[in-house]
Amino acid sequence: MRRLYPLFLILFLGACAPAGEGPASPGALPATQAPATTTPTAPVVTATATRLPAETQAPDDVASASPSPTTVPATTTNPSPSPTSSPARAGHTAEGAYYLGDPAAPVTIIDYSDFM
Amino acid sequence: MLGTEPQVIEAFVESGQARIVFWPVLNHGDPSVYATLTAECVARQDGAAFWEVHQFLFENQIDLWRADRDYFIDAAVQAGVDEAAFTACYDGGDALAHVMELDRIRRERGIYNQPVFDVNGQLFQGSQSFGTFSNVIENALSP
Repeated sequence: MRRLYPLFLILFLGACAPAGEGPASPGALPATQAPATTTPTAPVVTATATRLPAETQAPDDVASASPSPTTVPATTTNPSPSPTSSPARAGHTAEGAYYLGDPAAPVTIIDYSDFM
Repeated sequence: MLGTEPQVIEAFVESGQARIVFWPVLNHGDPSVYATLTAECVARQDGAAFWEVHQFLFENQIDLWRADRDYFIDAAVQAGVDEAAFTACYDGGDALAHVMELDRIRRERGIYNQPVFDVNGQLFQGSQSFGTFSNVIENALSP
């Protein structure tokens, strides 16, 4: 029986050694766990942020007419021209400028003005 | 001429002694162009409404820097013109080309600033009081 002790010892040590090296196919674990650390809430925040500019791009027709590059409809007030009733005649010159008054009036005032 | 124009109209235009011609000067980019285009398109439907919008645009000059197409459409509709016809004019190229042509002509005439008033060929630079207009018109009317 004592002759078998070394054999038992070898078998015991042999049984312990494979147990420590067992997982020969890992490596995949750390890789699959890595994405799990990213929080899924981050994209939600960016999604709401991208909606804001979409609302400010409302006036597409402005680009087609190419009026002013800075168009903020929300800030413009309601226009309401006040009627300025005048019995004077309205018409236009040969060049197409608009006048008020008698075309045969002795005095002509040409007002060269910019609305701005 | 926002301040004195009503006085000049009341004193001399309505009496048939004078007529006043508005000649557009486009010295401030797109706001100038599209405000003038609005007046032009209103006038193409109703010559009298032109003067209503003309008054409105001068009174709301500050807003025009930020005004968009909808703002000008609203102004035109408030003046009583047909919206569809107005927008067709506003978006079409003909009225815009006409406005630009008037601006070219005033440059050709040597008008580079605004306002400039031509009273029977006599030029006045800058805003003028009603008294100045009155004197010049009375002189022109005197034999």
